[in-house]
Amino acid sequence: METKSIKKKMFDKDYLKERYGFNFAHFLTLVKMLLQDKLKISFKANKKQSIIKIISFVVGFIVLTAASWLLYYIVQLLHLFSVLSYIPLTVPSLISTVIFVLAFLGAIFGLTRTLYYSNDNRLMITYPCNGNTIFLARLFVYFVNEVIRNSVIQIPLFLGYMIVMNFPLYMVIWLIIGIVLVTFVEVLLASLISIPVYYANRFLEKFSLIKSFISLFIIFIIVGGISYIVYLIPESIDIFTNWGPYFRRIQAFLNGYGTYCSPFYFLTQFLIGNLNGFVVQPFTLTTLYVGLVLIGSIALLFGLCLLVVNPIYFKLASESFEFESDTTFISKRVKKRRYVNSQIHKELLLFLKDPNYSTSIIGSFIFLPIILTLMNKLYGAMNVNHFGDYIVSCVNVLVILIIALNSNSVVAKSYSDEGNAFKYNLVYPKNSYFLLFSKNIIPFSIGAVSILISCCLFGFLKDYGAVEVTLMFFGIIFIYLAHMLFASQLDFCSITSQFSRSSAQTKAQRVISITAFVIPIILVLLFFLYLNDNILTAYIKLLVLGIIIFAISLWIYILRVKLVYQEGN
Amino acid sequence: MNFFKQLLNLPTLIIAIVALVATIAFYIAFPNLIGVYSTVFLILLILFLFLLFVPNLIKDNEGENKISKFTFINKIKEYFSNKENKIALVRQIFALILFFIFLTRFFLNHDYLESVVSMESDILSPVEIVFSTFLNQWWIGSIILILINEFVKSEIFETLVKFISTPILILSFFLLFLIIPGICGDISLETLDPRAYLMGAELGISLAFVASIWFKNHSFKLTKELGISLGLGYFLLIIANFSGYIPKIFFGTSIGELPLPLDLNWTHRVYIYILILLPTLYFVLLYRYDYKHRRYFLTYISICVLFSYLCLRRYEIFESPRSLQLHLCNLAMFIIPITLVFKTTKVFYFTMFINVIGAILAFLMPNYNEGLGIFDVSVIEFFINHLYAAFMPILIVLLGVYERPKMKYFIYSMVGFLIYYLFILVWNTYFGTDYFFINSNFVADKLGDWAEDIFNIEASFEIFGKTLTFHPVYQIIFFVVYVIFAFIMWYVYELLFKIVDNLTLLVEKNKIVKKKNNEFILYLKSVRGKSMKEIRKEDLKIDYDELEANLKIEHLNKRYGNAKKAAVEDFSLTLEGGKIYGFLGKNGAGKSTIIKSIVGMHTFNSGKITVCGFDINHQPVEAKSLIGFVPDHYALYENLTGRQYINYIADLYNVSKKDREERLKDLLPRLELEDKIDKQIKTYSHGMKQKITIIGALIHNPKIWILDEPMTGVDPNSIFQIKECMREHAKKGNIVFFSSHLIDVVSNLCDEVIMIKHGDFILRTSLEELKQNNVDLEWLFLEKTKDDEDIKDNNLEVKGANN
Repeated sequence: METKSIKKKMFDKDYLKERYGFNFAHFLTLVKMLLQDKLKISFKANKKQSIIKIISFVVGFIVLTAASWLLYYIVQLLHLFSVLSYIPLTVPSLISTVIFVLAFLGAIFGLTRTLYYSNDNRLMITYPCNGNTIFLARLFVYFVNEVIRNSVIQIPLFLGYMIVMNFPLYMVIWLIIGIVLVTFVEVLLASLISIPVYYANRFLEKFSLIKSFISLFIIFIIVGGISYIVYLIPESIDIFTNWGPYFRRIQAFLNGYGTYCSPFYFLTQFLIGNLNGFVVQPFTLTTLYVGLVLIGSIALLFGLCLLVVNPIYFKLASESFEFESDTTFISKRVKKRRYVNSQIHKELLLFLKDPNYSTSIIGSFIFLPIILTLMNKLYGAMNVNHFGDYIVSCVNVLVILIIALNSNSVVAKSYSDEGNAFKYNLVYPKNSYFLLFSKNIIPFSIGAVSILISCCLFGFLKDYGAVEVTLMFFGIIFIYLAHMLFASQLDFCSITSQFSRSSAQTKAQRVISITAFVIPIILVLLFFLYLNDNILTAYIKLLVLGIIIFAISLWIYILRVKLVYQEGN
Repeated sequence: MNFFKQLLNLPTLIIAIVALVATIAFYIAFPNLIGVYSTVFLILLILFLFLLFVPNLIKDNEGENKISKFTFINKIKEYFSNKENKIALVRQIFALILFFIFLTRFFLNHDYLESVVSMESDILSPVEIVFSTFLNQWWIGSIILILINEFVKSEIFETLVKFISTPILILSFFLLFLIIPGICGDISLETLDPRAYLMGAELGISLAFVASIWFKNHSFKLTKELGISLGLGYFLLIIANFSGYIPKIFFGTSIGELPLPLDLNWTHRVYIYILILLPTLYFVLLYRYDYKHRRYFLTYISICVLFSYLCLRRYEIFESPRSLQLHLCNLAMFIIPITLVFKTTKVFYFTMFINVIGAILAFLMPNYNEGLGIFDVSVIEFFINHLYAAFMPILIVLLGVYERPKMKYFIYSMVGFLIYYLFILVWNTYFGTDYFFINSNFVADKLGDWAEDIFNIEASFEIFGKTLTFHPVYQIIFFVVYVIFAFIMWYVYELLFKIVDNLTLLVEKNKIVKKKNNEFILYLKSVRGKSMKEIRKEDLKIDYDELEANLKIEHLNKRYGNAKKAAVEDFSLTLEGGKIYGFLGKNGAGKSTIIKSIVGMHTFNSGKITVCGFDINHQPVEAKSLIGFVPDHYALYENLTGRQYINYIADLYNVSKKDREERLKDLLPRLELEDKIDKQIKTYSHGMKQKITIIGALIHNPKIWILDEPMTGVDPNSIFQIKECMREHAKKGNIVFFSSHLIDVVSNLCDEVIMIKHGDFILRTSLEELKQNNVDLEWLFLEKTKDDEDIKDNNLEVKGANN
């Protein structure tokens, strides 16, 4: 009886209408609302902000195009890929493939988060729209966002190549169409894959020990892989003398790519045309075949999404808010700690129990010394003069600073992430300074250890004395800590609600991300000038700069705690 | 007669005698300078007497003037009908005469000191060179101080004239035989340079002004503020009066390696550091003053620096079209003081948008000749010019003398820039000059071949027999790029203004907070009759458990941001221990605001809150340790277990292990959380989260337990448990103060109820009284919180706000 009723239900007109029906008006409203929230462009709400955002896009596009053109121009000048002034199509194809793959991986996780874990699902599920409309609206908004992202990144990269290799510029229009089609495939495929990813995530949430093992295993693989690459680097790299073999290897690699990754190569041909010697062939048979495959894939994937993802979307989206009772913790009974220890203990518990936060911090700082080792092994194998030596030192300082300062973007929302619990810190009978600063102790400790290891590695590989390494370490640490204090006070003086933001960066995070690049670049430029005077004094000046920046940051931090945070408004 | 009696006092007589004796002595010692000393003495005497006598000559005819049909004439008449204004006008005229004489002398010829290198001179010894150099500079600074003082009504500037100009000028008088050679050269020659006599006149007039000021106010007393201003005055005298030839005098010209453009070696960087440090220092020093004094000081700096910049440029700048000061950065040195004196908005913003970029670029790419030492005069003069042209406009805006730039000022500036550009273009083309580098390939050369190619596109034509050659494409692009650059730089300025504004706001707030803290400390010392150290020692020994529960709110005022209406206005309340108080009011009445003010979640505009005698603002740690707070939305660390959370809270309140064990043993079964305490809080239901919050608020046994709508969303069983906790806590002699919308709960639970409306206290009564008078609490609440009626209730005894 039950099976019959289910079967009847499945083919019931009303049920089908309810489940798979589509209301365009509701769809449009949802899309408008979600797009405005995602892109933060609304001429009605905030004209100035919207104009600034659009101008930023345009400027970013222009800058990236210029950078891409410059890169290909230099490559062409240096004859890296050909004895003639020629860059084969496989080069931009390889670059775009890597970006597409990374974008695809990002889309899988991003879509999983958006579809099933988004905070506003709680509300959207209650709207008077059928599930199909909501699902398609979400997917469409994500698609639009991905198109914009791919356009801003991929089109400039291709454009630079097209200008250098004299492609007809009307192909840019075709390129845009191509990007849209490819993004369609990317998003639809990602939405399909999001289901097993969701279940895997749920499984790992339940068994966090397994999650930890997997994370450690992945880290081990990556570290091992990079260590192997470091091992492979020869002791001496003399590119200019041994250019022949290197050139042949590059050619072999590119040919291999063209053969074994031919679908991606054909995709590039579809997007910008084929390059036959120096002759550009905008539209070929390959264009037609690839286009048909893309359209077919879109149709197939769309159908699968409607049939597979859509029906279970509501179920999965609402499930993610059900907290299952966790296994009983074996907790020590009542234990009294001193205030400082208790505060640090609490922060440690929160740090470990928030995988997003802890992974970001730990991940950045595990890879820092590894990247530095790889870089310095490469540099060490090159025969550099004094100027080259200075550049190497500067690049090392730059990389350490950029990674360390970028890790502070997590700190820039750490107080907001505590929600109401943070707001009520003002009620406790304790001085606010340590209460606030305790949040930074653990990420700072991890960062400091990583920076110390990196500096020691750098000193060891460059044969620097303990004095230079010590000065470098403290100089960088002061700058890192100053930036961390800046990130903290941006957050606690202007808490953003967890509900109002989905995955977008907060304003504080945006500021921190920008300064995390600008500050290291300025400091390293100064450092380079100082190196030209004297190496030892350069590190002393770096330390002095670090102390000055830290002193100013600390002073502002103290004032803002006292005068803004404690005001509590 | 009175005047002469006043004049013939002892100090004046002594000064006059000393001056006369000195003059005679110098006549004898330096016969060549007889004319100069005579000039000084005569002018000093005549002008001094005149300035003293002027008030007696001028009549006060305020209110007597005939009304003219022209408004501005009436305004002028009204202004000068006042005697003080007339006297001021006379003094200003003489001040301008002084300045004119100084200008004439300054531009007439170059200073002899320009030719001194490494302290070597034919006519002066090294010691004399030192005195001559610095006194000549400070002489200029003193004259400018006198000039400014006569045009402003300022006690500070009068003090500066009294204590800076006076000693400098007196010293100059006695060392005139050193100062004059520094300007005029050898004074032993038969014919003395006419500039010497002009200097004599300057000195005479300046001394007369200074003497008249001392005569009017001969007090030596300096307040702390005036003392600080005096220190600033001396600092500015030294820094701003620094001619380009001074380093060469002491160090010569062969020291150091001059950086090539874009080299940015250490010597170049030192100048760039000064570009950052000097304006910062000026800002910090001038920030303490009000608007008008900032303007006066900036005027002083800009005029002094102008003359420092002009050290190499005298009469010859007017001789030919090539030597005019028409480069943007050169113009800036003149424009800046003019805009400060005359408040010409359009001209100022022109210099701000256009000059600053040019100056900064010049700073980074200096264009002086190669092969010069770092102390060469042209190098120093170059950096002085571009240093001040770069930062002065920004500093002026930062200090608020001119407002932050707006779009309309940008447009005016671009129009002005266009006019300047066209003028310079024609001037350069006609006279063969290269002001602003638009007629040569100076900039194109740095950019590369592509720029040179654009530059080489020429257009020539003849006019009045002269061939004029333009580079139209290059010159148009130059203009457009400069305008775009100016626009982009505006964004950078805005960023800087924002940062500085935020910092200064913090500093201002900090001053206010420090002042309030100091006032509280004084109050505490006066009340307790002890020093702060003793008070702190005493407070550490207090056993908080022995304290009596007491909460006092006095005249609390709270306004959010710039809201028109205060959220809470003049609210006062006193609560004693052993009772449960219900706090009623409509939504938005101010209940949460008052509660948050009590627990320290935000500050309030005025008033006082004391918790068991501890002020919540000035003794927050002590006061908060006596409060337990249950907010309307639970605020928990959901990743922690209940026990971990409670342990953490107990550690914050320094609860002993024994006490927390006892209290947990009591509370956990009562609130039915025994089996959940070791699970993560995120697995709790709403009611359980509320209950764990309650345990957190009670774990330290607070004297005052405050709950903000604790029953919201909680099941009846939990409500009962919470009520029992509240009754028990009050029985121990503590205060339980809670706000709620559940009238029934309040009427059954509370001993007293307090009602507020729109931030104002309206009623306080005991539930017992209400019951005795058969008054329904719900009815009373609805009546009392109505917006359009005053209830006259003769049957109720209402406790007043100040009980």
